Amino acid sequence: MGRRRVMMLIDMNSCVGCMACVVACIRENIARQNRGDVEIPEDAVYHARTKPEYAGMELGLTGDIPIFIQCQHCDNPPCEMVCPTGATYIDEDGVVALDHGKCVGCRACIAACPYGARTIYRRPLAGEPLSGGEGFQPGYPDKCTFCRHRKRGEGLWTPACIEACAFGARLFGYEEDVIESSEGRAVRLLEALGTEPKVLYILPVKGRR
Amino acid sequence: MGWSRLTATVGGVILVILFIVGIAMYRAGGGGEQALIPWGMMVVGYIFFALASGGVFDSMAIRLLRGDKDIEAHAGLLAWSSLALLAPGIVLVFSDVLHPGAAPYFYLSFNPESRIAWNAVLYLLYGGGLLAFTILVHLKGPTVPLARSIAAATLAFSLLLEANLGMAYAVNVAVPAWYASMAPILFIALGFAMGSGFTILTLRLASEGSVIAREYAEELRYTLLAAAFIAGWSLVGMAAWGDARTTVVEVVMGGVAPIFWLGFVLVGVLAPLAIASRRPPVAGLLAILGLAVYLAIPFNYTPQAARLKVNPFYMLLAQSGPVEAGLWEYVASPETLAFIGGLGVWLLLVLYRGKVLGILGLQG
Repeated sequence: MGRRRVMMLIDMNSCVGCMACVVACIRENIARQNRGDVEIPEDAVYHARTKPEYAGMELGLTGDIPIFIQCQHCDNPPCEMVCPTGATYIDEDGVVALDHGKCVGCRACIAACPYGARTIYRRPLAGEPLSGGEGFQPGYPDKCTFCRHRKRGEGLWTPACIEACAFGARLFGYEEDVIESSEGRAVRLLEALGTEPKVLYILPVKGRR
Repeated sequence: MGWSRLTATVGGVILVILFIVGIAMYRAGGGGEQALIPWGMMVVGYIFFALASGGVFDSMAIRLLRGDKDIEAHAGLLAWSSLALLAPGIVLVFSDVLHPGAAPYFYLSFNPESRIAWNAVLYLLYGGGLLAFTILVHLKGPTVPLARSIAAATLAFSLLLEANLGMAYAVNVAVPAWYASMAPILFIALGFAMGSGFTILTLRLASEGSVIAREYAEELRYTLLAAAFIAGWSLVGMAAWGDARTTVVEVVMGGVAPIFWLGFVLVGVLAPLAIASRRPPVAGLLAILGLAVYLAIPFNYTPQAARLKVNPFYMLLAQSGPVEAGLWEYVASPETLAFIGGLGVWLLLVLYRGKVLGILGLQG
């Protein structure tokens, strides 16, 4: 039996749009992972690895419900396919990860992602970004890692956004458990592309507010 | 030194300065919003130089392998010109990638699914073959069996590189107007057309081969027609396909239309077709200019910009982005300086071929 793979579920009916997950992501991945030594950029929300966008009509949702743009940790990731140096890879837990040491900076992964999940910060970042880690580093195609740096030994870990959500809108766990919890209500985004994301969404009931 | 040679030298030096300044500014953090338009003018630049280099070499090698006696006297010059076009292209590759120090992983951690990984291999094979052929031709001449064998192998690598550069676009499922497009065959056609143009200019700069320059002028017409036909065919095909249609509308009748119709169709195709037989160098120059414009904007920029309108995630990302991703931001960038400046490297290397070959000990 192979290793169990992780998955995330975002229930947009439980999300109140408080942005605690976004703040937690910025604090975890830009600040803490860099030992607090960098100055957080002005446009930090844009560079957060999970960022709220009000999808409105484009996704058939009500305008006041945010959709979170973030890496979907696809089973069949276009970014991994195009990466020339193997810097983008799927780890043993099913997380789509980036090895900064191998990244040549060709940006093919950014071009190939249909979810707009990667951003890149090209300006100087005040302070000293920690090289070799998985934190935010200028000049690299940054993306969600499910906070896999928090993993200690075997078993699950808790990503920062999950920890921060007071409304239980996010669930992180093993694939089969998450799918069971979704009770058949979850959808994958842009499913027709065959990317097989491991972030699921329970879409809001229209007009619930 | 004649007036025109002096002018070309001054122009070449100015372009080389632009090349260096553009690269330095880009490396210092200049360039567009790369999450929205990931591939900018620097990428266009290295594709342009690779296709142009391949085009010059392909046509010369085919003639040589077919036993065309007229080309033998010019094989050394054209191989040199091809090498001089590849040189700025390779510099642009390593300037564009943000972490060139990781380049060994192209080979050490090779990903066979990635077209860019194959580009790294094909650049090496083509560049190596071209270099070996150039040296051999200057030392032994183009008709020795080894030179012919290297020419044949390098021709294959060149065509594969051109097609593979196109495939790096065509495998991209996230950019509708690139995905499953005819970019590989289009790039081969663009290579031949640009190659004809650069060959005519090379012969003119070196004051060589007026007869063969006329043959190349004729070839320019056929190859331009082929490139324009494939580009047009691609647009027609894309017009029928959902999200890609936005790109076609933008190119044919939207904001990019004046650039497409005037820059590509009129300047790059119709004008060279009309004057190729009478004024080959001008036709060659116009064709190169028009094809560069086509590659830079309708082909490279517009599909990326159109994605910001048709893909809801990119639409939202663009709305919250800290920097605009418009055409002006794309063009008015240090990357454009580097791209245009690369022509100066070619120009000076062709103008001063004799001196450089002398320094290298290859003056036959």
